[in-house]
Amino acid sequence: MKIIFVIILVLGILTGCSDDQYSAEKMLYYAAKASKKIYMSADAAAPFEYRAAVSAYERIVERFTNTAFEKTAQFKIGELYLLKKEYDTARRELGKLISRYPDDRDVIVKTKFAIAKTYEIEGRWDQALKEFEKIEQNYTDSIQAIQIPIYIAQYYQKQEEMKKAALAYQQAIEKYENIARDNQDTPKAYLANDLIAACLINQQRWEETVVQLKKIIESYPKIAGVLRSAAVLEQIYIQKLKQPQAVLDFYEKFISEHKDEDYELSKILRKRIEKIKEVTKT
Amino acid sequence: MGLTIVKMTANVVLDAWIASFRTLRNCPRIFIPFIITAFFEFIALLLIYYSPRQPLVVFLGPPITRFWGGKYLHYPFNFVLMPKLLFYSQTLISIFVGSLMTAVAVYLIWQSISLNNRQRILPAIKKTLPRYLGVIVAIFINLILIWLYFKFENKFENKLLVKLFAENPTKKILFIGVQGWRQIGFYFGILVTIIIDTLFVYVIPIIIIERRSVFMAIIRSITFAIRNFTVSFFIVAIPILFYLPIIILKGKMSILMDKFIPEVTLYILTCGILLTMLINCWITALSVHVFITRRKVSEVK
Repeated sequence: MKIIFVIILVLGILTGCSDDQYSAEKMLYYAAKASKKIYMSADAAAPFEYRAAVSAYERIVERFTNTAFEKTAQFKIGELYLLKKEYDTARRELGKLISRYPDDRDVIVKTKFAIAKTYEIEGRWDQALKEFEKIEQNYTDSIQAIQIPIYIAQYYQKQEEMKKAALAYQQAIEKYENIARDNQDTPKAYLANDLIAACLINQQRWEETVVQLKKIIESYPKIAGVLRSAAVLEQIYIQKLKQPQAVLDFYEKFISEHKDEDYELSKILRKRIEKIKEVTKT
Repeated sequence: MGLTIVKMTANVVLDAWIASFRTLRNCPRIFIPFIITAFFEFIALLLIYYSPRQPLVVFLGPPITRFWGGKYLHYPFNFVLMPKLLFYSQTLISIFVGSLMTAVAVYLIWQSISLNNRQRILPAIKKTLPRYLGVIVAIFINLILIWLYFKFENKFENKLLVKLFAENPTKKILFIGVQGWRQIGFYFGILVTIIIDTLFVYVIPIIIIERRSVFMAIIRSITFAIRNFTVSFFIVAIPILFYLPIIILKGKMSILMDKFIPEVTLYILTCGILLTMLINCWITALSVHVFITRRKVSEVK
């Protein structure tokens, strides 16, 4: 009995009282569980459920300062107030991240993007647009900044302001073409080309989309995301343009042009050719 | 005639139960070997539970990452892997510790029943230690047979089910769908495990009491169990059935973790260790009683 007690005590002392990663993960898990109902249906959640969820995240912020867990928790607090429609409080809570981590560019950009979105959700689009434009100017290299042009265009499209949307998409495509040209053969160029394709898809400009997708597949055959581009190309050719033979021709051309290179993509495209032939026969 | 055989079997089993409970009550130190095995299993469980945390993560983290992935060193995924890791630990403990402890318990029970002699644990361990290797081999062969069955059954079941249900997963065969047949396969697997355990249940008593070599003991155990099949089957099956709720709960672990808390895995596995301790003690006492009684009957015949 004594041995068991001693072993448990030693393990407990070594592990139970420590502020380690495991403890933080456990607290985050329970905080996420407490906020699950709020994320599923914010309007149906009771005030005490909001309080419990916010408190759970606040305990993580207090206990795990200067860690990734603190940042995640503080972000979640901002999100919860946003869901509760307390926009000023949400922005104040998110703002704490900027004051605590003034040198962490990643955190600052993500937080500023989230703050801009709070203005958008609140219905203050003009203020949101100002914030988005500031991010684009001051943090040009960040993922968020690159995505802002298409984000703005999608907003206008959702609001059914079609002229503004068309103009925004055009401006987005021009910006992305510049980024792709200035950063050739880099992941940034791939992302820019991918976003050009997304702009064309959103506008249902199918002929131009297939040209852009083929360009992406040919230029970046080794990048994992190119499989998604191939899947979209197939869908557009088969369902929108009703030209299944065109996608088969493109795949066969790609495979024969790259038969000396051992691309994973070539193997997958061979299987896709068989599948498409089967489907189009039936 | 059939009813008479059933009555006779029931009487033999009941007598064995009553006698084994009496023995355990009169000589409670028979529990000690099983408590020792359960202690090792509990320590293994604790080590697995604390494996994602300092300082154990330094030693246990690399093998867990290598074989299953780094994900299982994070909360709550460590609980998903916990039953598998405990199963491997229990297998090793069963072979190297459980085998010896079962042999010690057999010796204590035999001394208590036949010679009315209540031995202490350490002398009992000294007496059974010369037979340690034989007992390890016996447990190992028993486990290998069960493992081989499940390996074969898995492959066969998957191939058969794919062949029958691949084209139409909602199809029913003999009014049962694919999930129904999987359930039947699961319960059939339990039955086969019980049958294999039944054939091997007398091996350790034979090694300790009759001092035979391991392979002679296996042959004798199988023939003895076949000759006394119904009795042997029930003295193994009935205690094991008490473990069935744990097996069912283990199958629903992910649902329970989501519905309640991830730590429910730890509680179920702890209950499993305690129940296994009691079941093993019970089966060992029963098997020794039946062997000694029925051995005398066949000697007289």
